[in-house]
Amino acid sequence: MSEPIIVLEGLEKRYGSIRALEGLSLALPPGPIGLLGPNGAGKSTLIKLLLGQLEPSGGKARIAGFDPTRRAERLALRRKVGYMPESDCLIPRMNGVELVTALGQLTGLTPSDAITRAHEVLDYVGLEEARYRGLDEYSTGMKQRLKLAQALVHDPELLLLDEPTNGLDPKGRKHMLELVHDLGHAQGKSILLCSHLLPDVERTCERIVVLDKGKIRSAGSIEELTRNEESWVHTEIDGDVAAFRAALGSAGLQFEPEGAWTQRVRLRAGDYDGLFELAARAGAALTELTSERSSLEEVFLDALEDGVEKDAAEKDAAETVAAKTNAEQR
Amino acid sequence: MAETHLEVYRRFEGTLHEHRLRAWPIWTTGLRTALKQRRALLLLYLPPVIATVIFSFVVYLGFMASEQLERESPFEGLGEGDIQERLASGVVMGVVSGGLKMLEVTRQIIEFNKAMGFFALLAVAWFGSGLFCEDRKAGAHQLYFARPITRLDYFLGKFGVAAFFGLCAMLVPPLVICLVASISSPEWAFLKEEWDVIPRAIALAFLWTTVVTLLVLLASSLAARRSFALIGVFGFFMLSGAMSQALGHLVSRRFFALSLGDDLNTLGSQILGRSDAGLPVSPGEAWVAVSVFVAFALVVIAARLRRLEVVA
Repeated sequence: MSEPIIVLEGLEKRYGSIRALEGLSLALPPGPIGLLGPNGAGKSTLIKLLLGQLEPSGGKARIAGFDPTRRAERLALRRKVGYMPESDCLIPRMNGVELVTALGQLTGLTPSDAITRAHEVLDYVGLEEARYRGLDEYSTGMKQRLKLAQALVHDPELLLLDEPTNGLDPKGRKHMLELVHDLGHAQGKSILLCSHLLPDVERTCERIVVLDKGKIRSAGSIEELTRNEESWVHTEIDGDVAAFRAALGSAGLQFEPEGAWTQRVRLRAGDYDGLFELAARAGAALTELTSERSSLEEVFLDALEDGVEKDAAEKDAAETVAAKTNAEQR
Repeated sequence: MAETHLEVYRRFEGTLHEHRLRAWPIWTTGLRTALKQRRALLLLYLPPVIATVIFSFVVYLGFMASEQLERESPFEGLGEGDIQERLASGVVMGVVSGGLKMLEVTRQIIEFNKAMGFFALLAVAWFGSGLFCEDRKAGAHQLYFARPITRLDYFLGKFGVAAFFGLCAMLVPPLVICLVASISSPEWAFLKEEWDVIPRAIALAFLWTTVVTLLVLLASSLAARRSFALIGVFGFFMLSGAMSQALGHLVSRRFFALSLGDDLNTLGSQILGRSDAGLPVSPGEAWVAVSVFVAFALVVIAARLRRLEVVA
């Protein structure tokens, strides 16, 4: 396994009494990684800690081999990292080319290289003549693409993308995800894609980290995590319904009839072929099969539920210990 | 490759350089964007330009008149020509020459230099008041501080932008006038006798611009909007002036040093080698007050920029 690109050792971030991140420990290999979590889970905080834009309250982080809390290392790591922030953060009174060129120069490109690179990355993200327009005239989609372009201008090893599809229409979202997929797979960039949208992560990443309430709830490759995951699928059949349902029962599959021809069946991820075979053996044909939730969604929701249960158990245990201590003291 | 267009991602084959002057790209970018405000540039710099042209002409005319008067006495050859005409010409020459002697070119340049301070303040306030707060409001600091730059680089780049506009108003006009005076004075007399006006004018321009720029950047680092920063700058001048007057008259003369404008005037007079007994603040007090202000401004700006880059 290659050297991890991101290593967290007990990383913590507190804002007063609020614990935004609680002792995160993790080693992430290079490649496209999805950082999943509901709003307020601590995803953006983690990204800012990795960039050195926030100071940790405890623990350590290493990104591309550098410690972001040390000034010299922080400067070196910023040459290797491209950051696309979540919010609209464009420099006033500039146009697209000027912005990307200026930020390229700040990263260490010569003026001529910077302008060449600016045009190359703007071409790549599909900002054509709009690059000469003032930034205040940009649509949300253009702004997102421009933010991706500025993150790419110095050809970084690692991209930190904070909600890149935020506010995009379906076409813009598709385009953005294609770009991210291309960067992560064809161009071999390491990507930390921060999102609360599971389909975005599922489409572009190979690994995920599920973060909730500042804690890592689950981490690993999508393939591994979803391998044994079960999910509900809606099925509609043509043929002998009773025989099909009996076959489901004898195969040990959980199912719930919905209509005369339809039923929900609980299946393992990717085990659709087995269902087709089972239907064929029962003298029926599957005419419709739709997944109620994706396997990743199951993983995500299970991780969150487990996390909630774990938190509640920890809280109960802590309360019990505290009550016991108080009783002993009395 | 992305499917929706034909462009492919191209790798960068060159090298990323480690800039020694990392503030330079911030400065050049800032200047380029500021120079797009052509109407503001015209309105802010037209008065100093007109004043410089007129004053250059006055200096030139003064030296020419003085030279002509020395060459040709109005009463020379009395009785040979039209006495009345000669007399009238002599009166005009006398008035010009006498006026020039009375006002003195050097003193005029000094006064002109000090007057330019107001235009410098206007220019720095206009172009500098949004430098930090607009970045913060637009979130642009997130882009800057995702790059290999330090807070000092960021500060120096922004300081350079605001100071440039201040120096354009404060330094260029006196230098132009000194140039005109040097060229039009007989045998470079101005340069030979009054050469020290030039370094003094430069020193004053740098001091004034530095202090005013720090004030403007301080306001910009504290304000949420550019308009608030502008109000803060002029409000500070007015309030500190009013407070210093009130406290100076009621409590102690030392409180006159609270007025940054008076402090800068006193220091300007000292730098330009002109003792002015009418100024309420002594040079010592003025230096202390300005130094304290500069230190305060730097500390506050540093703290605010730290919040921009790294939040503890």
